[in-house]
Formats: sequence, structure tokens, C-alpha cells
Amino acid sequence: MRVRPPAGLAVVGILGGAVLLVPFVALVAGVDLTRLPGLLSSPSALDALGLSLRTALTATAICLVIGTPLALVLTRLDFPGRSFARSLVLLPLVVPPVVGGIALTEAFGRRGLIGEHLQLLGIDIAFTSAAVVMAQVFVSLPFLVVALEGALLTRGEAHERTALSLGASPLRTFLTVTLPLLVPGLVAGLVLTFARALGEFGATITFAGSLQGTTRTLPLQVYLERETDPEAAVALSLVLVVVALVVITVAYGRRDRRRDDRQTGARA
Amino acid sequence: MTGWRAGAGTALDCSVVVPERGVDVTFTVDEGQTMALTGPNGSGKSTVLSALAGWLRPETGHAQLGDRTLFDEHTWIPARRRNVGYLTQDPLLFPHLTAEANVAFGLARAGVVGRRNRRDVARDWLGRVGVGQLASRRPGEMSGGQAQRTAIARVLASGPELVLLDEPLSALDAQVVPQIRELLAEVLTGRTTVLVTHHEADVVALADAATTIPAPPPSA
Repeated sequence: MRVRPPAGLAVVGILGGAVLLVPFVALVAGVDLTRLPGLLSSPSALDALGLSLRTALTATAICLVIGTPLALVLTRLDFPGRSFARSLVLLPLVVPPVVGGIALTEAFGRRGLIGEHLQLLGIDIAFTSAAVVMAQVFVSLPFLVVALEGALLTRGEAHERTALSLGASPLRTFLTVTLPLLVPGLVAGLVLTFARALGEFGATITFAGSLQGTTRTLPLQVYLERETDPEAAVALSLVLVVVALVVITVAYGRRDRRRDDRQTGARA
Repeated sequence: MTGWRAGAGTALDCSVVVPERGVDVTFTVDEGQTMALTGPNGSGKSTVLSALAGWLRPETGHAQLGDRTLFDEHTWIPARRRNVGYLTQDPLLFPHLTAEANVAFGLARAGVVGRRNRRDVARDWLGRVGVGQLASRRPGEMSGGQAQRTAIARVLASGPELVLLDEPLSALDAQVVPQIRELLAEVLTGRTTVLVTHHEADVVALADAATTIPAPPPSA
């Protein structure tokens, strides 16, 4: 039997839910279903959708490759300033994305700290699809790192210690024990990372610009259509909402199921 | 090569001093014997096992296992090179592996070469600890007693020169404790072992000698 909150609180709580939900209801209501197929299959919409999926998937893969070691370093390696380093990782989560875009430009733009030297080598990042991916990695990497840190800290290191005491090398321990045990945290983290990358707007438009087929991702296309064809903007927004819903269902549905399983197990 | 080297025990001579935990313990274990460490909570029993396992470096002290120095002021052999088996009250089976794969995990160290050999040795061990029929089960599908039996097989199959047992029976249902205790008495015969326990019955059934660690002084 759960302890119910006081009745007054429940009313305010329902209001809070409405604040979150009403805009989405309005969005769905605003879609003209008869025009939807046409709006979604225009060349510019398809370009934007294709680019968004390609770049967001690439960014997610990069986050996996660099974010997993980063989470391990932050949780399993003792070094001075570790807790400060852990909070620095959260910086892209809390600064406005447009600030992230400006920071990326200062670093990798044509006259940037590193971009200047890359330019001499003939490598130009700003205003390319690579810049889109970099902006997405920058804003979404913290999601993966935070999810993995949580998974690593909750589980502790007892299984890894067992593996080492059975004579396994650190690499074998990582590959055969740490990684498999991280899979649930990884899946949840990757789904959120992908969703954040797919929705990235501010850093992308600042650092990568808005060039159809090259840097104009779906959120940028929505913003552009809003000026010229609001109905198309609504239709494209709906696509992003549907993707987000799928993502939430996958990431949080799993977690809730596990929690329910545990509670049932405790009662049994 | 079977990996069961029963009787291959080695004498242990150890001293562990960790002032910040109020731990100062010295004892020896004769070859193939089991030493029980008893004492109140906080007396440092588990600290001693952590030092022997290689998880905690004591401020001063030493441990000599046969002709090998596990640690002293100049030496520190990392856990994975110690050949020391560690069993706790939590079996800590790898949840994504079957019972057979769990036991096979440590067989490389025991010198068992080849996948098929490792499978055969793992199955032998599972049979020996009474869970031979569970070879393809994962830990989530086992009872606490079955999991601890599998963990016992895993740690002994890896051919440790020293076995550390940290309250190995304290998380089990009361009705299976006598059976697992009997199993431990059987498989530990001839192995150099350090057993940490709160229970007199464990000392009587499993140990050849006992050392009581006093409670740390209140200031520690």
C-alpha cells in the first residue's frame, strides 16, 4: 500500500503534467494529416531527415568509443581533481548550446585555436557535416558519461576484483566482465545520447551553419520552415516528437520494468 | 592437467599493520592447514584478507606464501599474479555467464589449455560440488546455495596456492549451511586456507587452528 500525497499536491502535480503535455497535444492537433505525406517527402525534408539520422548515429558511435573510457577514468581511476573533472564533463549540459557552438568555432573554426593549424594541413571542419557531428558529440557526450558513471558506481567493482583474483588480465577483465555488465547502462545512455544528438540545434547552427544536405539537420529545417511554411514545420516537428517518444519508451520502459521485477522479487 | 591440485598447499607467514583501522595482526598457517580468524566486528579480519588478496596495501607488514613474497616493504604483487583464491559471502558469479563458463573463467591460470579441456574440467568441478546438473544455468536461475557451490568450484578450480574465505556461509539460508559447510570441509582438505568467520561451528568444522583478533582500542 503506497502512502498517498495530500490531495492538494496531487492537483498541482496534475497541473505540472499539463504544462509538459499540452504543447505536444497542440502540436499533434495542428498537423493536417492529409498534407503530412507530401510535407514529409519533399526533397529538403528528406535531405534533412537523412542527414540527421546519419550524423546522429555517427555522433552516438563516437560517444560510445570515447565516452566509455572517459566514464571509466572518472569512476575507477584515482587522480587529483577527479571530482572537479567529473563536474566539468557536465558543462555542455548546462551551458546554452549556442555557447557550445561558439566555443567549438573558437577551437575548430577557420581561425580557431586548432582549426587554424588544421587549415594549413588542408583540413576544414567548420560548415561541413563533420562539424555537425562534432557539435552533436559535444552536447550529447555528457548524457552517455553520466549514465555510465551511474551504472559503474551502483554496481561497484566486486566482479572485476573476482576476475582479477582468478588471474584475468586487466584487458580480459574489461572485455569479459566490465563491458557485459555495463550493457543495460550503455543501452539507456546510448538511446539518450542519440536523442540529444538528433535534436541538437544551437551548437550546430552556430558552428556548422545551415546548408541543405550538408549541415541542415531536421531541427534546423524545422526552424527554417517556420518562416516560410509553418505547416511543414509542424509536420517535421511531429517526426522529432515521435522519435523522442520511441527513445523514451526504450530507455525508460526498460528501467521501469527492471524496477518492477526487483519489487516483485522482494515480495516473493 | 586437471587443475585440481589438492594437497598443493603452501605455508603462509603474514603480518598486517594498518594503523588507521587499528589493525595489527600476525599469524602463520601451516602447509595445507586452515586458520580461522575470529574476533568482534571492526577488529580487522576482513582487512587482513584484503591485504592477502591484494586489494589493500598495509602500511607495514609482510606476507610470505611458500617461497614467494606477496608483499613486504619493497614488494607488492598485484592481485591477479598472487594465485590467491578469494570467496566471500556473496558468490559474485558473473551474471552473464553460465555456471560452466564461470568455473572455466579461472582455468587458464590453472594451466588448463583448450576450450574443450576447460569445459570438461569445469563440469567435473560442478559435479564435485554437487551442481553438475546446473552447468548451463546462469546465476540468476540458481538458489543462493547453488550459487555458492558454483563459486566454491570456481575459486578452487583456478588452482590457488592460498584460499581466503570471508564469512562464506553467512548469507545462506539456515537449512543449507550444514551441507555447504560439509562441502567446504571436504574440498579444502590439504589446502592452505584463511577463514574469517563469526560462527563457532565454522571454526570447529573447518579450521585446524584459530587466531582471535582483539577489538581495536577505542581511540583507533
